Amino acid sequence: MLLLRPQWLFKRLAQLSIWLCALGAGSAFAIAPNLQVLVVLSSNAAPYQTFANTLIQNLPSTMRVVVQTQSDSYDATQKNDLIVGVGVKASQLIVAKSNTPLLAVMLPKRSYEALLKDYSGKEMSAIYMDQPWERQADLIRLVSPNANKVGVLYSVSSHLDTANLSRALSRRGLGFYPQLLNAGDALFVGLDTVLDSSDVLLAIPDSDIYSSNNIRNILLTTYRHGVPLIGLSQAYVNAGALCAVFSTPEQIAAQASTLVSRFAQTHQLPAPQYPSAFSVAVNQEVARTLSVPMQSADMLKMQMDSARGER
Amino acid sequence: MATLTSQYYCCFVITGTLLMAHDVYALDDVSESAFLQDFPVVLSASRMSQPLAEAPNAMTVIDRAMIVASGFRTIPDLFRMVPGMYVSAFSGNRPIVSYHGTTDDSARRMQVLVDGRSVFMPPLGAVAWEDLPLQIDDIERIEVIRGPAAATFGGNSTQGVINIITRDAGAYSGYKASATKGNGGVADASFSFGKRSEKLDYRLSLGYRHDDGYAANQYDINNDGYKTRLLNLRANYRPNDVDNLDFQVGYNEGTRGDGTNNGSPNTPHDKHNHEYFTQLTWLRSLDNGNELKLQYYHIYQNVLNTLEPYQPLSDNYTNTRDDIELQHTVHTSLTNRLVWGGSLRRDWTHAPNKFSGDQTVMQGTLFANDEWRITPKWLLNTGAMLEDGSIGTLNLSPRIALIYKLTPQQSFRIGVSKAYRNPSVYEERSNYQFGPPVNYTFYLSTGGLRPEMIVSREVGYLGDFPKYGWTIDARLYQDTIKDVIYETDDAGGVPKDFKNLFDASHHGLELTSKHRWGEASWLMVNYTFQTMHSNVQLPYAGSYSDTMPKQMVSALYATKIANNIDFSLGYYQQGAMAVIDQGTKDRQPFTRRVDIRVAKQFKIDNAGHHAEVALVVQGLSGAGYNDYIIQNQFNRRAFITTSVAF
Repeated sequence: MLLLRPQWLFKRLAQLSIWLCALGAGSAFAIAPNLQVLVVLSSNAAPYQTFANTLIQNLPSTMRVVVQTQSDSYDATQKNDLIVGVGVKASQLIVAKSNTPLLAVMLPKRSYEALLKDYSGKEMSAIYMDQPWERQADLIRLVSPNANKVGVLYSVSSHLDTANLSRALSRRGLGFYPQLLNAGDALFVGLDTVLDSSDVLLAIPDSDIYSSNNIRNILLTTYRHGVPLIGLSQAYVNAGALCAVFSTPEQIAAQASTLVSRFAQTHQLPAPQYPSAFSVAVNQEVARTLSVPMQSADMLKMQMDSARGER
Repeated sequence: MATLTSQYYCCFVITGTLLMAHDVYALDDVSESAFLQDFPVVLSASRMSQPLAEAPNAMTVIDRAMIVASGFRTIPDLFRMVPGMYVSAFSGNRPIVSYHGTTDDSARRMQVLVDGRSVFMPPLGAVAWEDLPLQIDDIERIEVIRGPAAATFGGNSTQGVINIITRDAGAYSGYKASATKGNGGVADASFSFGKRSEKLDYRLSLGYRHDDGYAANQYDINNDGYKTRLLNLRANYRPNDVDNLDFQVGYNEGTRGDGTNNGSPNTPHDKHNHEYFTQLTWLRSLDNGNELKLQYYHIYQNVLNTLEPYQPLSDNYTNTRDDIELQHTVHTSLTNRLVWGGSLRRDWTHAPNKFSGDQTVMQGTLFANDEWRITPKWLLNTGAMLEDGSIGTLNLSPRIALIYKLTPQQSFRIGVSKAYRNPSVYEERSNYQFGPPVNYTFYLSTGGLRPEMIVSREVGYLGDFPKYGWTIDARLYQDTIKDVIYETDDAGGVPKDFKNLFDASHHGLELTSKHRWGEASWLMVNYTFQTMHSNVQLPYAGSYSDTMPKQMVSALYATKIANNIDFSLGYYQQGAMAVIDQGTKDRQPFTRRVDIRVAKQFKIDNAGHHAEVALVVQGLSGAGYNDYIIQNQFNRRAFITTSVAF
């Protein structure tokens, strides 16, 4: 007890008060678990709901989290410490109406960059929906060790980042065969051209090309050419793509919960990032039909994890 | 001034809002929906081609590139590109396609399917190739299964199966038209239209085909030309993500030259043939890649064969077929896939000259085929079909094939199968007679035939060497056929009959090599060596072992010789043989034929509009050869096809 000298006690109390002040920056006396978080969904469709449910499960129960399933009814006058915008539509509305820090999730990198450009002064960050090109290239290399050329069919509206994609592919010894589809060009003529010159076709988020209208005939055309399609999601694989690497709403929600908890401590948003956790899906039936020797999705995932570890 | 300013301000705000709105729209273009959208299941086990290295039989796939490069105008000619396949013609409008079989115009031991529809028809048990409501341009690919496959394809698949898969309803969109003109009376035309949409795709083809048939050799008239008009419609409707309805209808009609002036009462005249079909296939995708398929089709054939002025010499007939089949594909585990199902068929024939009354044949089948990946290197394929036909007995046709994958690119296959062929209604019940002035009975069946039985053993090797752009497919086989049904001699004015006349054994080697260079050049070579043995002494041909050529070679080379110019060269060689039902004067000597095709494409725009002019010369050397009988002389044929897609 003698050790409890007054100088020591004062020093510790001073440290504690600085600590508390730092935590309370912005809203007085807000401490970590009591953060007020609003989650705004772009729609109440299943993937958004799944994201919200998983996020709530992963956050401490003391944190006040409100989920708004319709982004249209978002009310900017209500006070929040952090808003999680799920999807492009919700994130756009929030950033246009509010100055509250925004964590935008489940939106393509390119959409986030457009937001950032339009609202440069706002405090925001993101977890993208898309996978880094490096990860896609890893998967292609693993499933097609003999592939030389990766074909990509894209329209102007997809704003494809050809430079980075090309770089990621060439680092793995893969050539890049991009085929731009201008307005008025026939989709299936462009598709035949790209398939004639490619060993695999990589799907990119482009609603002009990969619509549910077109997917059937796109897949049938790829089979005809014996060129496998690398999809963007489990739905692509179910429909008949060879494989896909993607992140589920659960995986993105787990990552978001970490960022929210960190925000509660630091009141700082990290740099925008790709999803860290991902899944691989494989359609063995397609693999067999196209005579592509194929490992299980789990094996591929393990090898991709170790490839990432080496980098 | 103030008003003006506020007006300007208003304009500015409105313009700004519009610009903003546009910007939001542009962003929406790249939304997360691409990652979240649901898709219909496109892949289906029954729609996909089976990889060659995993098929339980040797298989040759004739794809579109081969069809185009070959320059062939008619479907039967395509089978020249299959090892072991004999292609000839009874007359210019009655082609013969036979695999290890009897070389007459009834491909009795081979099943022929178009999108799963059996076109091997009564009364004779044959395929009316010229009557198929199908244009060569509407074929996606043909899978030819070399060897018995009754376990998967049902009755009559005792020697092999030709499985024609037509182009999908959404295979093209827009209009296509083509016209062909050449010597030998070649005059073809076609027009197609296709449209794709989210739930419904369809295509429609209209076609006309004509040629004068074979040149008469030592006869004054060889009346075997034809005029064929046909229509084909295919539609595919997808009401939701798991159901797929495919509807097809086709019609073929035209005249077929028949008869000769060699003194037979069958003087030159035209037959008039009609054929139509409707087919409906419902495919439901179940979970885990499983699938349910229900198919119904109806075929109608009518042949008006009347000799004026002798009305009694008419040999008309009408056939109908109704068939319904249910098939369930189920993955019982990650390494096991089972396909099972059943079918019911009713064939009806009205042929007053061929039978004493109308003939109805009912047939039911139950089948199951299991594919078990024992390890990644071993695959076991077992299957069986139980067939109950009202002609013949209850037959069980089993098959077992074991595939060993030495590497992912090389595999060995060893297979044994047993299959039955039920006698055709004609073999069992024929009464082919004409009243005066002919007053003669040509065939009179005593019936009571046993089904033919074949036991086939084979070893196969498939190698794929992507580094050298080379694939090789080799097959060694031994078939024993018991109770071959064949016609008796007509000596002494006694009508011919059908009997279980003899047993036979077939041995052979079949090789296919494919080599690719660069992106547009390839060479395919097929080689066949076959021997056939039987103790039978045939009425016309004599020794059975001579009735198929011992060696056959076919080769096709294709390349791009310049920008937008395709060149291809086909070579087809057939050893000497004696046609099974013809005499010594019709013996076929060693024949070879070279075909070439040169085509130039013209691109009209980027929207897929293009045109093409193609020249095909068949029998380049100009030395004619005989097919099947001496009066079928094939002379050099050259034709030009102009086509446009718009």
